[in-house]
Amino acid sequence: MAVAVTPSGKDKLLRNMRFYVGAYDLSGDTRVFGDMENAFDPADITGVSEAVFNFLSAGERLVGIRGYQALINDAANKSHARLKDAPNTEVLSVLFGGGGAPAIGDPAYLLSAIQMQDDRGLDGNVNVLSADFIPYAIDYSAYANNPIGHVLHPATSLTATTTTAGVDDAAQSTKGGVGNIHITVSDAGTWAFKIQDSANDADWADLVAFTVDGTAVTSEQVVIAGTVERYLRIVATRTSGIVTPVVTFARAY
Amino acid sequence: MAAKDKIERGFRLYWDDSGGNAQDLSGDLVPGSVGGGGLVFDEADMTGVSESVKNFLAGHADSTVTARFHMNDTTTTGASTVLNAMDGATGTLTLQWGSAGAAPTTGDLEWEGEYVQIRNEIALDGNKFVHEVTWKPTGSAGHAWGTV
Repeated sequence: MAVAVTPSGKDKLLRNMRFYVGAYDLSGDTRVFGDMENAFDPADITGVSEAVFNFLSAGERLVGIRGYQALINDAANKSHARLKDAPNTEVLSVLFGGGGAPAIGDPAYLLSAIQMQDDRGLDGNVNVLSADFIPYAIDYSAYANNPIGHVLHPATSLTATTTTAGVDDAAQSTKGGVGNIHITVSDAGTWAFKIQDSANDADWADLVAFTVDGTAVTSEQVVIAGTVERYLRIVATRTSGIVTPVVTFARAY
Repeated sequence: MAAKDKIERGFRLYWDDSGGNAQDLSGDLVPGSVGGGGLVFDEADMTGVSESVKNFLAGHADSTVTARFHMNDTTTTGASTVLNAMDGATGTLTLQWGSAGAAPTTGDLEWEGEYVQIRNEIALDGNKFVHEVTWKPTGSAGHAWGTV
């Protein structure tokens, strides 16, 4: 019987964070984030005769990455090349490594984003670029209502068909979710990538397949409707070549 | 024993998980980050033009609570695990003040009520990531001070 990964606990340091924009790891250029938003407007339901204001969630979630700042790096596929053409649209994943580089099961923040700015400026004596990333309307999905999920596969090179250990999300959910894949390294070989789920970490079924095939660096977000079982893992099936896929998943609640 | 000894070391915060079980998040609570407990009233300005001093009555009260938590994905009890499953959901929030730095015991101060988790954002706090959380009161029943 498979054993799901054990969460690493209270150890999420900035230096172990990784930030993927499309097919590219911009962690080495990243200086700071303002906020990774996840909030609801409060709906004030206070009646005149009630003594205390009282609220419910208005139901519309505010999601986005605000106040992102990177060093200006004009090397190929680094911050300047990847972020200079706002309004870019990109699949983003932020991975929070626990005690080291991100691993399976670590927390992640997912977004299918439109980049709303590309400001240049000085931070002290260093030139930086600033950007905000907010949900892209064309890619809107009701199943992407929660940006916080887990790493299903970190940036590890694959040379053979691989089935990962399961990630335990504590319970089944019924409102779908989203999965991101970032192919950051490819030698033009051919692969197939899918996410599987399980109620017991032993009996697995296909949940969703990515369309990307590993033949080139790229990224993709897939949406899933309906039931997502408690445990998740990925299966990367090799036909040829070597590939580095980063996969994250967030279930909707 | 009642006394002037309510230091932060003895503070505890409990928030319901998605199963309705109260979880102690104090071990992940960033020191100095809690705001709330008690009521803050709207100031209804009753001043008349001819009056020399502004004067007020208390309008509606608010009891919003805010706090920051270290990102902790420990199964069941970690702050990330509890908070990430409660976005927009309601539950019981309990704040307790222990005496002289000890864990709260019977008779110590307590603020408890039904709240909605309206905000659970990830932010940088120095060189680590934290959850910034806001709870707003929900339900028509008023929130009040009590004891453990």
